[in-house]
Amino acid sequence: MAPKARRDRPKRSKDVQKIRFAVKPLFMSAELHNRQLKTAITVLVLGFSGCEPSSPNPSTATRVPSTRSVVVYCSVDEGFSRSVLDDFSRRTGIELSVIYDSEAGKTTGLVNRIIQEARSGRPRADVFWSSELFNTILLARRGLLAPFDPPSAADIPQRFKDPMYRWTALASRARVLAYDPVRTSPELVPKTWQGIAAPKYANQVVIANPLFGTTRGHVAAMFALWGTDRATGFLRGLRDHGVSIADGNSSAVRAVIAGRASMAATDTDDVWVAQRGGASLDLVYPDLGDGGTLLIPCSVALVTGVHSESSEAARRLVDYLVSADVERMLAQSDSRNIPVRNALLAELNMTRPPETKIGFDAIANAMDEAASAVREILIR
Amino acid sequence: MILQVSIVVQRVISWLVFALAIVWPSVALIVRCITEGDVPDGGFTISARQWTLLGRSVWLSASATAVCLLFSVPAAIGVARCGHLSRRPVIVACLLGVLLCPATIYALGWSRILPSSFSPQVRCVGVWALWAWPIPALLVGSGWSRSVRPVYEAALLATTPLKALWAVAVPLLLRYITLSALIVFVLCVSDYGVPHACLLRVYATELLGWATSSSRTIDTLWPAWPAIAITLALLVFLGRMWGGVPNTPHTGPSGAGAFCASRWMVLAWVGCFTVSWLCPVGTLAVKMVSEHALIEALTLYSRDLLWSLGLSILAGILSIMMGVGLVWGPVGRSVALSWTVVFGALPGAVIGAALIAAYNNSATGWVYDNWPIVVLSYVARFGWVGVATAWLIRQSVRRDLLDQALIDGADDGIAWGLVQVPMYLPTLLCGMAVVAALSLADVSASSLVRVPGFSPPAHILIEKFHRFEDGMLISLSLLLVVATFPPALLLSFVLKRWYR
Repeated sequence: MAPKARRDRPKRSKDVQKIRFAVKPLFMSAELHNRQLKTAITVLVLGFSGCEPSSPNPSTATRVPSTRSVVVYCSVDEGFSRSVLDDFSRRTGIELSVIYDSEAGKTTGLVNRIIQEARSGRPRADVFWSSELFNTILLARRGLLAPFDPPSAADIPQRFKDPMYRWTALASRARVLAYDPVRTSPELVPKTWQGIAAPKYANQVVIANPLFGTTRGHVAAMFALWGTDRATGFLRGLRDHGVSIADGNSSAVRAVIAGRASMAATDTDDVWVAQRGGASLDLVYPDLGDGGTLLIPCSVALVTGVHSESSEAARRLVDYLVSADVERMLAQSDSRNIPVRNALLAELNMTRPPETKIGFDAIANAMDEAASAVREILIR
Repeated sequence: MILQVSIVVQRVISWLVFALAIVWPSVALIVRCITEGDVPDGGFTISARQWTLLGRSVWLSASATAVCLLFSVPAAIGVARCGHLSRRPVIVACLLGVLLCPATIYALGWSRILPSSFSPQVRCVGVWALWAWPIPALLVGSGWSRSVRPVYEAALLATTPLKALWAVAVPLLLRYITLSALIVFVLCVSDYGVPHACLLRVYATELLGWATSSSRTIDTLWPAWPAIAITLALLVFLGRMWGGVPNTPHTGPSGAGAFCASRWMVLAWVGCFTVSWLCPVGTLAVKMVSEHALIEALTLYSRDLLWSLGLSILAGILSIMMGVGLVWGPVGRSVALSWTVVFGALPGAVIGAALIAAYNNSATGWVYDNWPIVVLSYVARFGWVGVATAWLIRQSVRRDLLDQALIDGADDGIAWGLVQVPMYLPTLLCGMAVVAALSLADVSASSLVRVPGFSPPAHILIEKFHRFEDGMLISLSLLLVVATFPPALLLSFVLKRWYR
């Protein structure tokens, strides 16, 4: 009946016929259409299942030991850490799924991610490899890190390990003032951190947002060492005398390179990589007030979870990341991290710059107070 | 029967995507803020510094929009004189080539052309304008050739060309100009990558900072309200401008053969393309130290590139499906459209926070842990482009053909599947490609919903930029540029074949 009814219909316009003709190959028959649909779905499903970036679902992968994938949250320089982790994966056959922190996140992003995931009852990361230590200490205090004393960290001095073995620190970077020696004479660079808040310096200095990254720990160290009154006075001095605030340490360094600021408060690695890139930059290690600058080590920790505490693969990875081999590689990389192992310092003929005596725990204690003061005084 | 089933499936998918990418995250965002019951970390006031940053964002975006509109004039005239773009596949390929390339790459290219002391504000405005000019060129040019030109020609019978232009054509074109201006403005004001590459702090930087520095949703949502208010005000303004205006159907192939490019027009076109695409990309290519870096980039990041491309294309497909399903949806059309556009116009950091609020729980953990959350974030962020594409098609649908199909006995679904989709398939594909390109370049929303196993190239680019790894940076940029060639060429080819 249907064909007859179709014949009875009024004549179609040319345009409709043209369009139907164009579509005809796609919908020629139900069989063909089904086959195409099936093929498309199969390609899509196979494509995504076959190439799935081995992201383990915590409900399966992180809880089933037979799945040997380890989830790593990593804020160490992506180029370097990728090669280290790939190397580990190749040598051990342990599959790793990594989230690298970007410059936009500056470690804090991954820390908050760990907190959020723990809060929702679904810890996802097995290992946290951070480019700084103080946020790791705060995670440990929240009970989000699991104790583990890696054998390869035996030669790391005790002050670089958590008393409860929830984290291990190594490969430090120092807080420095970077400047362009062509435009700024070394004599004109302040020799103390307190000095950068002085009227004649502050408006020439750029700092990264002190709510993030290593700058956050640096300001906390000032609060821990100087006390609240002096530290808040320092922040007010910076604000009142016109300090510039950049998006991150690297942006601060680029502001100096571009000539928009004379000095940048940053980490050593940002200066080394800029120098390698051909920038005219030099650095000084200003005194924090007790004879040296702040050295901030990287840290490695097991994240608390149903599976991670018992995961042999995650433990092996932690053991590898805190090994002398990896610390040596970090020291020899572009970021030229300063080893915490004295033997390694001697072996690589490196020297540690004068260091502040303030302890890591004291700095971590001051983090919240420092952040509040920064929000209240500087970032308003 | 098969076609009807396909249409039903398409509609179900579109509403499902709408529910998963738009409705549920926005509800979860509000519920999370209420249940957390906290006050924002920075208090309920917006600080003077934040107002300054917001002012800078608005000023830069508005400037970029104005420059973009001016820069697009020759191209818009060219598009208008084409009558139909299918006749000029080279023009289509050029327009798409410029638009599909991530704007951050242009910023990186220009940073190598201009001295480092060059004003970052001017650089940012310039990069945005030189990237987005194909949007007003396409919209205004198409608007002229589709609906304004016949009215203008009719007016010429009664008055002078200048008067006809001012009194008849300009008011009609104003809607297209405003629409394209709003699209460019929203894209710029919510962009993170270009200001970051220009070392500028803008409000999008501030919001992403809040989102990454706090584990509480309110800390991201609250500072975003001024940006949300500005965008909503602009959307309401646009809605009033377009609302109540009857559809402006396609008037057929008017102006066929009218395209005769003058020497000046050709020069203007070549100039636009050279300045916007060839200069920055060519500079990057020239500055590439060796092919070794390119091979290394390909070896190290091919998986990340392929994954990102795949997910971006999937986001493009789903966005178009969602747009089509909502625009031709049987119920709740205006609510769904408004919801999608308003949610998509939110800052990227807020969208990321909304998706975390929606899916970081045991019931929906699989989505949060795997690639679907990345796709959903792209759809949430740029799905409005799909909606806008479908809506523009609906505005210009040929009613005569539709009526003819209905007289033929086709129901709405058949008429849609056999008449409207084939007619506008290239437009839908263009919309899909734009969503995919925007997704590929996204930094802010995808920073918050990253999944283990692959890093979006936009993030790697920024990382390499900050680590002064020029070889890798340039290589990755060029790989991304090359990735835009096939869709641009394919679309221009499809357009030509389809309408031949």
